[in-house]
Amino acid sequence: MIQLQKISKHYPVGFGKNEILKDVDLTIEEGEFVSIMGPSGSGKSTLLHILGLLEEPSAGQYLFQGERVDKMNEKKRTQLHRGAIGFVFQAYHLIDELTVYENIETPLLYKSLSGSERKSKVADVLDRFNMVAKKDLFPNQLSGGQQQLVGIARAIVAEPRVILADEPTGNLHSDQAKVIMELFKQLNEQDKITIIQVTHSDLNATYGNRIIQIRDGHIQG
Amino acid sequence: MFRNYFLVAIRNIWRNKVFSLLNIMGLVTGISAALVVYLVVYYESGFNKSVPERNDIYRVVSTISFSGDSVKNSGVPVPVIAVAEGNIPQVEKAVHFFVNNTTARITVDGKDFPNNEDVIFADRNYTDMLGYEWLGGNAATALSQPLSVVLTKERARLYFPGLSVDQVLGKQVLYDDSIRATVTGVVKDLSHTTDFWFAEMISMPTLQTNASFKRIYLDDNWGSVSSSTQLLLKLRSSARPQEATAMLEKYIKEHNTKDSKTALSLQPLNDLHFDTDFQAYRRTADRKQLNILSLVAVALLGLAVINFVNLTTAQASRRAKETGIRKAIGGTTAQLIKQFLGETLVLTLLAAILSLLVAPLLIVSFHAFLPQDLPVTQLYSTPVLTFLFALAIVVALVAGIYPAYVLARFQPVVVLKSNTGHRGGKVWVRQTLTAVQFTIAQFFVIATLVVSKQIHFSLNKDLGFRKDAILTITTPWLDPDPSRRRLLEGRIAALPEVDKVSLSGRTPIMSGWMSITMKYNNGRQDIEKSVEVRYADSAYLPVYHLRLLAGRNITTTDSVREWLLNENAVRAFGFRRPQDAIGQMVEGHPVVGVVGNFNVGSMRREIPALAIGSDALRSHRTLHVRLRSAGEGGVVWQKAFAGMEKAWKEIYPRDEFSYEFLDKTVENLYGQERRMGNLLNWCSGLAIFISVIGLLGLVIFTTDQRTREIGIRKVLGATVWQVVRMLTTDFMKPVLVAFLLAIPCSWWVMNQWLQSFAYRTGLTWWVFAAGGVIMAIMALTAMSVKTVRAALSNPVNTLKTE
Repeated sequence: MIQLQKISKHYPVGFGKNEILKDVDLTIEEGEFVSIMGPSGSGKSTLLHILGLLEEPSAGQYLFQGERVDKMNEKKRTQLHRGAIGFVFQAYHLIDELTVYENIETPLLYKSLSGSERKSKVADVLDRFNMVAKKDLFPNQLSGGQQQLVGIARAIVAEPRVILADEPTGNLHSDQAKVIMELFKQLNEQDKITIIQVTHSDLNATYGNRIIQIRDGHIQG
Repeated sequence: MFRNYFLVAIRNIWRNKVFSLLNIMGLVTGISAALVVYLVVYYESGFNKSVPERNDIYRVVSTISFSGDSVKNSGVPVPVIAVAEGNIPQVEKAVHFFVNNTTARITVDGKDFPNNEDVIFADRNYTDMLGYEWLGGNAATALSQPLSVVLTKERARLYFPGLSVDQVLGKQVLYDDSIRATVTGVVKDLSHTTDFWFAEMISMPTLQTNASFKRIYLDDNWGSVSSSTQLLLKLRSSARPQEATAMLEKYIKEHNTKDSKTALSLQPLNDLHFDTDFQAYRRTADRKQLNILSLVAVALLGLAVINFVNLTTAQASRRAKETGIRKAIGGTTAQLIKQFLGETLVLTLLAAILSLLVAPLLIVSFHAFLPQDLPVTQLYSTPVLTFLFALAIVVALVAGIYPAYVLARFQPVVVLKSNTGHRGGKVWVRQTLTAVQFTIAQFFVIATLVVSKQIHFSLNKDLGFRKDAILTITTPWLDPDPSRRRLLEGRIAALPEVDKVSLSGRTPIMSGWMSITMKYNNGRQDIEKSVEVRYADSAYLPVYHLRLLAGRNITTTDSVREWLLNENAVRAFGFRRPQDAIGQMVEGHPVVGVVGNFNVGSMRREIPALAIGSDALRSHRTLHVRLRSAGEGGVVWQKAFAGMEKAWKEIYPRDEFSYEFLDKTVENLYGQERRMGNLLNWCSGLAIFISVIGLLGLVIFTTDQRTREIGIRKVLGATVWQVVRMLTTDFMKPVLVAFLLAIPCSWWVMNQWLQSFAYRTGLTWWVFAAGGVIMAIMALTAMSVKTVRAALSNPVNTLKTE
């Protein structure tokens, strides 16, 4: 499903450059639950951002379902972004000015779905996550775990093929973290959504079926 | 999608109350100003639009040239009427009427009314052309018989309160106690946007019934032009106005003389309301003034737009996270730009709605600079509201595009990765915009100071005569009996509170001109000069303390027998010393004395050559009264006013008593300047207001960002003063740059303005310094609202929150 070939990423620093990723080759199949692990600054977040089209690699090829992403035009890339990829962040990153319902609805707005379609999809997700009662609350009225649930709900409402999660439980205590990880596992097994998470926690990594160790911009082993 | 944007917009506005309030206040001020100006422009350009076939109608106007000078007059010589009616093929219809400017008193059922010059002599052509709706009487015959009059509904209600239209028909109106006209028709008033405001139409044949009317209005001399003779032509739709003008020119040429030439031209009806060369009937709109107002509105609107850009980009970091998230879940830059523009639109629409409430206040404030008959209710008419809506959209686009671009440009990765603040847009952009803003405000402040300095100078300059404690009383100007004026003079002179009285012509200083051409033969050649004249009796000089430099005072005579000249006249006729002029014959009369120069008009006017003669029978109609000292609390003067009124009532029982102090006459010469000063006062106020709230917004934002820094500095030993200075210095830079930019701009513009005065105040350095100080004080005061509090805050509290 996802193929990275000799992907590199570097930033200019002074007269030299700071290499984050070096010649990364990586293949992820449909339906996998992958955990990317590694120490701080090893490049795992950058890798995730490149996978999620938030950053562009400095060199190398990126194929998504056999298509060259780095050769896509802006429009096609946006479509891929909207239709196939969902994001979950460590800091939740909900829009503070919108209610739970509206936050979840936003990706559907960008996909230009009709009002009734949006309504039914958002209702489904709220129902599934047991959040119907909270739909009119604002993010700052929710606990961290609840906010992350909204974050995941928002990521899956547009029915993506892959969810990219950047330390999704990093700001949560262990009980909440467990709930979130169970949810990811369920999404992976029942809904067949490919999940790629960046995590520090060995425990969290056990929910997945594959671990990628990254160190100094290289994939180990 | 729209609902989502709208909700975010409203919630954001609500969440950032302070910034929204500052933004909206600025926008409301700017939009209100633009709204009021549009209202005026819309109102003025709507004049005479209701006249049927107005595009084919022209008014014939005259330009009379004589001895190198020319005068424009909105009337025509009377014989031109007959020519236009019969001899010009391009004319489909010629309509003429005479404005009645001679009737002094209109009496209805024993009650007197003044003549406001809204009474005309007209015939059926006139009422047909304007498309009057007849409420009573026969349109075809109402004006065909002598001694008939047609009233508008309003006028009928004034003269015959409580009577129906049918009851008014057949009633009588008495003009000057001698001409008795019967009401033969009542018409509906035209809409108020018309220059044809005449409310009383006397039938044309009435002119033939009265010898003095015939003499005044039907003067068949080709060389005399009166603005009361009005001629309108409706041309055939195929005809070219130039051809008609050429035809008229052919006829008038035959009658031009060597000394005086009259040229006729066609003024389109559509220009009538705006042509200041040829006055409209009641009020001529001044395009220049409209342009000034428009500029002011654009300037204020610009200031508000700058505020918006500054405040929005300054707090962009608050919105950066939202941009990042929206992009991460599929939003494109274009969509985000649209969203942020939409938010701006919500804000400007809100400001537009509030403007509808604020605009009436502005109309009251700018009252003196707006048409007096401006109907405020038109503010709520469809075209004005449409304009307001369109304006809100345009302002949203202009103000919103740059901030929207800045906000939508944030890259999701950069924003979402870190928690540090992100700067929105370039700081130098904001500083430049602030500098522009303050330059405009600074310009207004300096201009205000210069205008008021010139007004102060004009009112306090030594005019060459005494002007305090002098008042003038004008006798009814159509009173044919000079003995009554002398009687009144005697009565008033006898009052113990009165020092001295002169029965003369106009005051030494007055608005307008009064000049004649005078000839002097110095033995070798004729010297011809245009000379200002005043007609006066022998008490004129002592009342006004005019200095006699040579010879003797004038003696009072019924018609001119001798002259007093001023110094400039002496020089103009080529005499070296005042004494040399004494005894010389000028314009057929000897010069008996020479007076010192004095100002005869506003400071715009150079002191001209002037002659004083005595012409008691025709010209001495004004009493010039010098009072004794006002006494404790003005009691003496109160008694004087009462005594004068009593004397007046005994002699002119049917006329209103009124007087005017000379100081007031002088002040009234500067009506235009004072209106300008008033407008500038308001502009400076509003410009300062908008700029300063914008500055305050920026200060609030940066100071909040630096809370931690301030805490640390205070812990390290910084004093309150040092912190305030640190916070203020950066913001005073654009204010200082603005000051430096405003100096040359305002110097140039105000120097141009002062050039129109013959006697003017200087552009001294302290005017600019004072302007700068005012601006600096305003800016510092506004900033201190935030900076002082921030500097006084306890560092323990600010650092704990981190």
